[in-house]
Amino acid sequence: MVGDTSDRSRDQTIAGRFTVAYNSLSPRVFGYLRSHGVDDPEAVTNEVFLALYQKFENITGGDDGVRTMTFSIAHARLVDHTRARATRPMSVPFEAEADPRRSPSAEDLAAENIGDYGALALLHTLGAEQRETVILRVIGGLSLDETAQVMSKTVGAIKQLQRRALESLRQTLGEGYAHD
Amino acid sequence: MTDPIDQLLSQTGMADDAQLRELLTELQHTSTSVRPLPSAELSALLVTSPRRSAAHRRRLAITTLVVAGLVGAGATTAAASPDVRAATGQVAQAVVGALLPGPASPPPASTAPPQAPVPGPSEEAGHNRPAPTDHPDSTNHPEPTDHPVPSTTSHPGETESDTHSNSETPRHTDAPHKQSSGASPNS
Repeated sequence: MVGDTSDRSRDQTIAGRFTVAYNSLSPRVFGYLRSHGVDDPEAVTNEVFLALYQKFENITGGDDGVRTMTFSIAHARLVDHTRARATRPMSVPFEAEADPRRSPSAEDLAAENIGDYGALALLHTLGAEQRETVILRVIGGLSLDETAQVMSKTVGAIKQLQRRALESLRQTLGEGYAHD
Repeated sequence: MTDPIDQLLSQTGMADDAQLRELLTELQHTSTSVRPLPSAELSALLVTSPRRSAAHRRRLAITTLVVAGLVGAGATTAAASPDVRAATGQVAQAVVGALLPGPASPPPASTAPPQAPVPGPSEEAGHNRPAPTDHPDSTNHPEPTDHPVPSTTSHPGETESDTHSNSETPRHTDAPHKQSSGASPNS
């Protein structure tokens, strides 16, 4: 009897914490996946949190640990998605304006003036690792250490990636506005 | 938590770059403004209904029973002793004040403190009191907040470097980030 009550209380605590984690992190996970051009970011977001729930009880490190684990799972799903996409053709209709993978010209950038798609498009002028670093930090809200953990790199490597990424973005911004 | 954009810009020595800040802020805003809908399977794992109503109803029912018992006891002993009636009323007020939400008000001072012990029903009611607290609603928060119950293993004061050096961080409990191995968290 006491054991049942204890188990129920523990389950309620886990469910409550998991709900808080979902409410706070799901928009970021969705944005992370969408910014990488995942076909169905909502479905993959659901998969990420279902996988997170399986591990939730054993996650240590409080909120930081939950956030890091969530994006570790999302990162792994992204890798799976990228590999799967490389082996089969995409069947979604092409919309040039909404496709975050396109590399816009400087004229495009100046015309869009960093609109919704302009910001994502600018991001896709970066190399894959630089882009992932910026996305994890800005959209994922991860710290330097957490980003290093998710990408399996050292903190020093992440510092270098993010510095080069921002320098590249700044240069691209300057070129775009120079044509304005 | 410090704004990640502020952190990123200051760590790269570009805190004064307004164009970059605007770009990153726009990116963050547009990318995190959509709240995805949970699937049916995921919804089943989420706390969707506030627990306050059920707990509140249960507490109210217990309070009603206790008060009814005390009133009955008071009525049967009223003719025998006015002091006992006064004491019973005080106990009832104390119980109601402890169980119902809202600021607790102390029972009014009595000019005639109880001389006789409170009879059985009121004592029993006191023992059966369902764990009253100073803040009756503190355990019935209706909505999850941004501050979940902290993990017993969390370290709120730890720094980024502390987090990184923690050997129990998820990096060592899961291998989804091992790109080279292609391991998926579900595999």
